[in-house]
Amino acid sequence: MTADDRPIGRVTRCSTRGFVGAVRLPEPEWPVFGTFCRAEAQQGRSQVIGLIYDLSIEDDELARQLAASEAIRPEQLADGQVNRQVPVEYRALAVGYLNGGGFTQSLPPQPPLTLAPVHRLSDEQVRTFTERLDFLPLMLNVPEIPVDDLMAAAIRSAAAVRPESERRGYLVRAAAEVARLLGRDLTRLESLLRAVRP
Amino acid sequence: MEIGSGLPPQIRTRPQIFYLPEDLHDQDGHPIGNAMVNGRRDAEEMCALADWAEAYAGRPFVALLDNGLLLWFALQVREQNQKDVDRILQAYLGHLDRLKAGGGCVAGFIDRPRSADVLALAHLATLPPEKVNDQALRANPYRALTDRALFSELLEPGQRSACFIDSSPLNRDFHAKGHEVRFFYLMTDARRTIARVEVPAWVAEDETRLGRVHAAILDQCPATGGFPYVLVRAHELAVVTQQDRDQLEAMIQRRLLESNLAGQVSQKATTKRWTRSRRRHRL
Repeated sequence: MTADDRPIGRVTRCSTRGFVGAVRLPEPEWPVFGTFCRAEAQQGRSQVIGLIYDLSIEDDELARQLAASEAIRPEQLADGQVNRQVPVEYRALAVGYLNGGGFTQSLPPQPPLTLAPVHRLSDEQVRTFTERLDFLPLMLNVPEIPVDDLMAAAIRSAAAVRPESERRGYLVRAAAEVARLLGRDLTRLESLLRAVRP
Repeated sequence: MEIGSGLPPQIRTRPQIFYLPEDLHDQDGHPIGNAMVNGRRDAEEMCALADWAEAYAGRPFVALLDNGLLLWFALQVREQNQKDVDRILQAYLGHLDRLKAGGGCVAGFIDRPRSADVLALAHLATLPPEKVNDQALRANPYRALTDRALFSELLEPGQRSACFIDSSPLNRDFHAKGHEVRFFYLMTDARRTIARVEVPAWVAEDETRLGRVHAAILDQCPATGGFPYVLVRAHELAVVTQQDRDQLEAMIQRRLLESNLAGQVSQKATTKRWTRSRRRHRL
């Protein structure tokens, strides 16, 4: 199993709007804000496509005890940082699904299964999924998430997996779509465009 | 954990699921109880330590257990299950042989010990030899006290007591195989925590090995309040969580469904699940 095939955690809670995943991985392998991911749904007949927007670290009393101690050994410190993989929880917003007919950019028919493995989308899958920009309006009015930052991160991720020669064209096309969606809120639009400017 | 290396410790776990009829029943075909499960687990733990010791043979190492070295389950079930108990005991002693041959040390760490063996010995020492009998021994004026109370006054942080021999009848089998269990008390930290540490005779009688056990335990205690860090971590890794149970349950259910069998949860378990997440209101 390559690093790309390795799950980045499992689903713990879910709804058709999105899912929460938990993972115990060393820090370099944590997913980052704006990562496109997928989780199995409908007994494997479909994959929900999610966009990670919130990462949190669970509370841990042993870590607090060790942090407060002046007598921690180097081996114990290394244990805490390498072996004792801190449980990280992340939230993903559903922005589409994948089934036999390919990618669809709308809410999935069913949420993923509990404990379904969550994987990063490969670069090729991100390229294919983001070819259409219908996932952007899906994100627009979701309450209590940093919508503008997430849109900007998603557009940047989508541009980054394209060849150099196509990146600018993609960013311009995405910016035009964002301008259409936020045409009535110029302050938001300006800040979002600034965030995706190459 | 390789002290002084600065490297993260290596972690090994050996999970096993017991489900065969011979796993679940004793020599007479009766379902086994908690005591037998504990005895088997103790033997498996010692086996795992001995396996690791063989991998480290020739290098100084200390294997630490989070309990005493004697197999207390034998006292509870020996009469009914002589054959099973003897089999487990002999396997356990065989693993101790392997640990000894590896050149390292083994010790059992008992946190908050409640024993009063040394106080009983102190009482015995006050009796003239001709007056030593059961009645006189029972009239022990220190009965309400524990050795922990005594040594928390006598020891200073980092110090240990002399070694004593455990007088339990269980120790006879250990003695016969060269693993007679000895113990000492140790003040593990500045908060005056007292622990009882059990070691086999071959550790107690070897100054180098005994000193190594003493030093290794003290090394592990400061950051975790007087209880060894490696045991804290072993607990964390060994615990079977509700999530683990639920996952195993789900795997079994899935396999049953794949075989066209319907696994049914008892109604009692179902109703417990209905009520377990209810919010409790407190005054």
